Amino acid sequence: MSSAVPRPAWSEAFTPDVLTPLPGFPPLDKHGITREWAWGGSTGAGVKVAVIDSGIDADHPAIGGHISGYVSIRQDSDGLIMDSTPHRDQFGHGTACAGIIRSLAPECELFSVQVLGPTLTGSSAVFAAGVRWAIEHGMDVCNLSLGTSRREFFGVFHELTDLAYFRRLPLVCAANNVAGASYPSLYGVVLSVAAHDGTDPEQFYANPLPPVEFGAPGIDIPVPWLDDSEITVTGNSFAAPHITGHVARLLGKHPHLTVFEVKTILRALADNAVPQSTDEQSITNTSDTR
Amino acid sequence: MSRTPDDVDAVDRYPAVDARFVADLRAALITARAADMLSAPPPDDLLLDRLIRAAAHAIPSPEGALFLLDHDRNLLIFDTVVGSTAEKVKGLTMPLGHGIAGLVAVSRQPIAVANAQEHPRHARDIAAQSGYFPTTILAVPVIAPDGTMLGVLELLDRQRQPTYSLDDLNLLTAFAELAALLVAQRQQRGVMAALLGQALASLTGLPPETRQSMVARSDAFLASVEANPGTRRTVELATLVAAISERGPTELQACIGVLEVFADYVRSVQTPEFGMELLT
Repeated sequence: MSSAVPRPAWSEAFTPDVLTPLPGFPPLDKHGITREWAWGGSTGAGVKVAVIDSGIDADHPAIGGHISGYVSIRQDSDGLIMDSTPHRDQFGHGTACAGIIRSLAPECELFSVQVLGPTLTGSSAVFAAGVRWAIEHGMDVCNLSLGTSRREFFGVFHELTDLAYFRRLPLVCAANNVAGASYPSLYGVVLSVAAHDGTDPEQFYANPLPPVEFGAPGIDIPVPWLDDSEITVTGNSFAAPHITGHVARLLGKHPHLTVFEVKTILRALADNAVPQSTDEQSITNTSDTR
Repeated sequence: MSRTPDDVDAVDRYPAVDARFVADLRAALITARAADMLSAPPPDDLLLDRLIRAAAHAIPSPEGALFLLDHDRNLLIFDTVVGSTAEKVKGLTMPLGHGIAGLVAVSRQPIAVANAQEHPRHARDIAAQSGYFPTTILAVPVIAPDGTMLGVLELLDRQRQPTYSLDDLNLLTAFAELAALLVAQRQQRGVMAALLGQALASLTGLPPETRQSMVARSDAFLASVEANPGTRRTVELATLVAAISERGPTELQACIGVLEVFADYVRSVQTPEFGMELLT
């Protein structure tokens, strides 16, 4: 059963009258950590990004023709089937997410993990298999603009998200503005994202009242879709890939960051984060030497 | 509905059916009918229709539809439709594999599309079957309290604003939660009806054809009970009590109190047949 307590629409946390400034703490504030330090000059090159979704149309102009790997997962009476031959997008949703990621991290290595298809057979199990595939195949960051509310998968996704966390794999999840749980977006070890009403892809916020921790553009934004087209869409599905793109750029420059370090850096760089440090000494100098 | 009380007598006389069972069944059906009237006065279909109309009014939209999932065939079915396309598309099906509604069904994520008309393929879930090409689409999942995906609630062509907003998306999601409860309730009733049918079919060791005949006669019996003037009066009474109960618990309690006093009076001065006449 869903929670008896109505959940808020998570995106409301990022509206101007609700959004509160986040106090920084030196040196982990904007004096200590700058966007230039975090991802200045990074294109996401060398970073493996899994898009767990409906597939990716590689030849869409926004994707640029190159996908580094494919797996299409489905379930039939014999169990799960993993197909690594190239596939196309079933709906446009995965191409939209991949296009947003690539717009921020143009040289990241995209992997299409297709778990949304024309049947619902075993959909939650297929989704979980997609996350497991990403963990076991050395992905550096995953975009999950989908979720399940099936309570019986609470444990499965809890185990998977912990495993990803321990292997330094950030899972960026779209929050669901629906009463009741949505897994794995509500777990503490993932980066849960809702839409704010800005359109600047560089603009993101941190929410002091999780479970949804970050807000990124997702309202009336143009995204690539099927048939080499572009449509204007609204949904948390399209906020998450913005954060995924930032993480890809960040890991392109600082490849050994853990998930909690990634979260800490994003929090310090959020547009509502307020620097409190006036100390000129920053971690920029020390961090850039590694 | 056109059966007469003679059919009830015919069921009563059916040799393979125990008379006590018939009496119990009669009492159970009448009680269930009356209780149903009291507890859920409007039928589920009407409630769903009103719910979608309310959603389309609150989020000004000329067209609205509730799609239900057929899990076995991977289809979406136009279940309840309001607007100009309602008569054309109601009951039609479409494969789950494409379109905005299909995407919402498989991803469980709500989505709003602003410029669908420029790319008709994205709106083909409705356009292909109705000839209606929307400019804006808002679609949210309908998920049962246990997490089961039931369908998709969709509105088309936002009025007074160029696009559906995030507030619209959240509001329609609240309507979808109500729709999920109604759909789940309707499905549970369907399961109950099927169970009752199976129970009737397996009551005795009768041959299949006899059991089938018995089920048919049970259906006729139910129809005749509904057509019975006495039952109609019971339904009228139930409707009256339901109307009073809508005023609040105090009014309902007062109503029950008055009825109990009257029932005590009736029992004291009338024969039991009076009660049977009232209820049958």
